[in-house]
Amino acid sequence: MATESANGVSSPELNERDVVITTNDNRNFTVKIGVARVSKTINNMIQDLGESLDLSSGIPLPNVDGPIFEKVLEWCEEHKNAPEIKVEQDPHTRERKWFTMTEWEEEYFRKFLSHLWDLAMAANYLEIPSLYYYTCQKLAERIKGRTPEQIREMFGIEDDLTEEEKAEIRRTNVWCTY
Amino acid sequence: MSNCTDIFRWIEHVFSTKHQLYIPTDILLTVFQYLDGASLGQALFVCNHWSQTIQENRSYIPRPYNFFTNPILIKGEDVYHIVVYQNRKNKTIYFEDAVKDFWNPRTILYKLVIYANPYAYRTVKNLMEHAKFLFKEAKPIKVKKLKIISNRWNRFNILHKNRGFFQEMAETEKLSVHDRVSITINDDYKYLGGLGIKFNKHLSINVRNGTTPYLIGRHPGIYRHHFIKELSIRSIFVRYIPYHLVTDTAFVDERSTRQFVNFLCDDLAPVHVKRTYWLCILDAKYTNLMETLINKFNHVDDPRRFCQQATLYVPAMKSLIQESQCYLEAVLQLVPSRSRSFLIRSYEYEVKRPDGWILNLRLQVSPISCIKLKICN
Repeated sequence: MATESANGVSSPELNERDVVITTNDNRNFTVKIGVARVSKTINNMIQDLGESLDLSSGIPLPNVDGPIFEKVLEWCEEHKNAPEIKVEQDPHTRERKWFTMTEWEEEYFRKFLSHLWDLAMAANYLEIPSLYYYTCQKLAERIKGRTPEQIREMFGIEDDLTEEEKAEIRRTNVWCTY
Repeated sequence: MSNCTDIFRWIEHVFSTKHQLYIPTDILLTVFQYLDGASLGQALFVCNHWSQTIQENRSYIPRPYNFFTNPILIKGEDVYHIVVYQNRKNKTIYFEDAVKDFWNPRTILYKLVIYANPYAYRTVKNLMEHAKFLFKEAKPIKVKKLKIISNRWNRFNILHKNRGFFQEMAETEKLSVHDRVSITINDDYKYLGGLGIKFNKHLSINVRNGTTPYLIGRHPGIYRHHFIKELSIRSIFVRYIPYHLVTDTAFVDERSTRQFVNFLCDDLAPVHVKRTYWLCILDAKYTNLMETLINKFNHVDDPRRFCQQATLYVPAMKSLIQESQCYLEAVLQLVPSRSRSFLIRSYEYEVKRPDGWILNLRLQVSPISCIKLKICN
């Protein structure tokens, strides 16, 4: 088997080469290095391995499964040349300023609405800031204005708080009552 | 048709899946940072993990701000009033306790008034530390007005120096101070003690020389406050000002005070005064005046009026200790005369200045007797 090495890891030619990425369910994805580099985690691996990188034998991603990585790749493909996002927050309320999403991004999240938490976790592990923050914003959008019951129902979360604990929360967090 | 069924099944699947997904705290926190305070309040009750994450990271996640247009104020907390007393020994403890006791995330500081009328440089420093503490620890969500008042011209350097702290804080917004904060060192008080009157903690009248009747009589808000929750009268007769100002200032203050109390008792005639708070820094020659005024105020024939607390500060020179003691005794007689259920809890002496004796006599009424008074009324 011919082995390719990652000489000159930052060169534009390398970005056009393919690298194999193996997810935790042993699925192999052949991806252009330029696309894979949207993920800082993968980019670091490529840079760290340098010349010893074997492009054909694959980069293992033990914390991401195939179906999710497929969705992540779709994002990376679209955002491979996008500038770094800027995270800002309101100085008074500390609330993060919301990003304005493009039509494509809105559609992307509409498509994967039921996998938002998985996407956020994958984006966090793979260090893809744009996907991470946009997903978190989308999750916040879903939580906003809903009652605890509705939130639990939506995300399939079990209510493990007793009535006493809830009363205690109300007592110690006066701000939550308005 | 079959497509529709599939969609419905998918929706049902998505919304009915009861997998208990563990979401790492850092991801949850990022999500919470996009929520407003009200939504966070709801998220607190979703599950234990969410609740703990929110409570443990209160300083990082957004805080409620939805009452900006519809403020919910707790009585007595809309204004945080810092006064550093000369005879408070554990000043910091006192202040921190006060913040812990009264502070609430709902609190809006409509006006923070810092009175700096101390004799000691150290006290001014303490005062500033208190103010800084308030901002650093209590983190008010909004301060509309921050006013620093000093009547000691030679303490202005420290006030100016510290003004930078508040100014910087307002500008960088590191402590989330509202951008409408205005910091004022009131130069009117540079030499003159003057008379400051606060009604119900949100209406403040500052009476300046010679304009007392006009200001008081025509203040737009005063007639709406027949129920006075707290009345604070500060009458400071300054002795350490340039000599040529002494006579006029003293005379005007004396007249202003007298006019004010007359107006209050005779014209305004409040139906209910929950607490009267007298803070008097006097030369002994004004003792009689203040006594007369307090007496007048406390003896208006209206059974609904009462005084829960009377605090008096009487600094006197060494040669006047004797007179001041007499004065204290007069007051002790005066206050119970309103109601026999008043009990005197404590009073204290303190010598403050190395260059002359200042005798502080503090008179305090026990809370038990206050309750008795309430029942009586």
